[in-house]
Amino acid sequence: MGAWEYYLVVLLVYLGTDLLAAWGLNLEFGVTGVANLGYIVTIAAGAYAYVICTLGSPASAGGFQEYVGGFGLPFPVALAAGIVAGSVVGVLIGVTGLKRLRQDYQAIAMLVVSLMAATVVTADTPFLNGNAGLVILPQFAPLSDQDPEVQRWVYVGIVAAVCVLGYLVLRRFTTGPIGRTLRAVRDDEYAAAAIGKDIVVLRLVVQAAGGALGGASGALLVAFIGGWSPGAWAYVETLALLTAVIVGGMGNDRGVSVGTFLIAILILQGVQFLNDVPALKAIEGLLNRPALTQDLGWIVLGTLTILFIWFRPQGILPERRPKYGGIRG
Amino acid sequence: MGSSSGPILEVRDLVKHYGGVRAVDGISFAVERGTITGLIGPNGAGKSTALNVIAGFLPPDGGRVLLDGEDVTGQPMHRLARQGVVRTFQMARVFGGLTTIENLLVAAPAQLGETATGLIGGKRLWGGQESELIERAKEMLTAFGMRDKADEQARNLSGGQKRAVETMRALMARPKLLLLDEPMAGLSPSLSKQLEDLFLELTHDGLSMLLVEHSLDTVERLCTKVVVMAQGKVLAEGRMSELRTRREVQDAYVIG
Ligand SMILES: Nc1ncnc2c1ncn2[C@@H]1O[C@H](COP(=O)(O)OP(=O)(O)O)[C@@H](O)[C@H]1O
Ligand SMILES: [Mg+2]
Repeated sequence: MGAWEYYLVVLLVYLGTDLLAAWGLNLEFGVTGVANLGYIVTIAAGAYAYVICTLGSPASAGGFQEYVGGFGLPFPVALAAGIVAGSVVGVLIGVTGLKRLRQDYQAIAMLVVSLMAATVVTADTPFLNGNAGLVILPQFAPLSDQDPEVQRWVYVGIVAAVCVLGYLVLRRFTTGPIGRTLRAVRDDEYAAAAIGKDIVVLRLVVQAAGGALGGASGALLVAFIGGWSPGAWAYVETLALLTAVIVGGMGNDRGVSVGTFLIAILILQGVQFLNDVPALKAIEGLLNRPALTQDLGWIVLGTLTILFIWFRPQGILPERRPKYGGIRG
Repeated sequence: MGSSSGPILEVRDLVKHYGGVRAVDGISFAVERGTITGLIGPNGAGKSTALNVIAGFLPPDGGRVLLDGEDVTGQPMHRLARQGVVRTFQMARVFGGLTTIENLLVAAPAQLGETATGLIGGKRLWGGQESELIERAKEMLTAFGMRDKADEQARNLSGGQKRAVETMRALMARPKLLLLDEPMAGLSPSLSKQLEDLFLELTHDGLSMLLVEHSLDTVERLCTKVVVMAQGKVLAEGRMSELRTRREVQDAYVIG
């Protein structure tokens, strides 16, 4: 497998896992109006759950890293555990926002949860090996008798299959009567309550579904990259997903998919290549800012978010509603 | 369920304060089954606050609300709505991202597509019910002269149209008791007249209403009984024709 082919595999896995996550966040924020700034925690929960399910007991693995659990379970079971973990954590995050119905309070409460979770995992080393994070050894190999090249492509196939399934589940929530009801909750929660909608239950159901997508994303990602640590789920990662949702089109599943491709792949991966531009290297040297091109991705992201909120809040592909015929039919 | 002979709604000594403001200061009245009770009074009398407390939008500071003889005081809005108490807001609230017809459809009770089985089963399960709802919504839009606005995003409607959407939406929820806060405000005179006829027709089918309304002529035409509020208290109660001649009612309106 050449370097480019390997890179393509990496990009495809990133794209798939980012899509799952962005869909989940869009369901929560774009469709239902829950500004879950702690969404990355559901992804982290999925990843950690996958790791501790797939690893053997710490002692059997050589004792070089500390963690709870260690069940030595096969890939499909560990993936399922990741999905359940994401879902449960999603609901728990949702509970923090229930008391205060106002969206801005919710967003703040959930951001705090994200920061707290990272702090706890970092500080409590015996829990999930703290700041050093966990490494999966040996790494998951879908078809152990094949050579690595085939393995990687098979893994891309697995990610694609989960994405298809995830999209079907997502569409069940974002279309039809329930999709309509969730958007009503987003647009005016009091008016929705006045026609009998149980806002709290609806939001928690959405948090469970969105969290499940996040959990799947985290589990699939960690199985591929082979390790997970607090650095992988800083709260800013939620903002990258949020940008994908806003730029792509809040509430529009296809729009958000386009947004994810743009943000997660073209921009955040694209900036890596700026390292190869001599002029930029020279500027970095001049300014004594070696990480400038890395940071450029985030600068572009922030700018895009603001520009879209100002000039095109509906995003690239605006939300579209079904037509029932104005005059006849 | 409670008795079917007593009033559908009974309010006893209801109190609601905003800090030091006694917005609702111990009011009592009843709404009889299949009738429209008017709630009138000058601006700031506490009519909207009373409606908000009855509907479960605000918790009361005292008193009781009985629905069909059953105590429902302080129950949240969505639970009251499921028991047939549906309200509209003084400042019309529509679901701006949904179309006009969707604003109606979303209000239908017991939708299969909202249940777990509906989610799993998909359109096969709820498609039939949905088609019926669409037909009902279209009929209602036609009756309100808004059929051509069916697919318009609700946020783009005029103020009067939004108010009409809110009323239609409340009716789609199949209420047994409607709490309406100035539903005619901003509507064209012809639509107001149509709405009056519709309300009367609906009461013949057993619907009960508590109607906050500015136009005393409308109130006189629609309401069998009128409750006059001023400064958080019930000032008088009776038929509009009698009330017009009462001194304290006239005073309240002049002063307010
Ligand atoms: N949210 C609120 N906070 C504080 N005071 C309020 C609030 N809503 C209403 N009030 C006050 O309560 C009183 C009754 O208001 P309201 O119920 O809106 O009267 P009405 O609907 O009869 O015009 C008024 O004095 C008003 O200023
Ligand atoms: Mg009022």
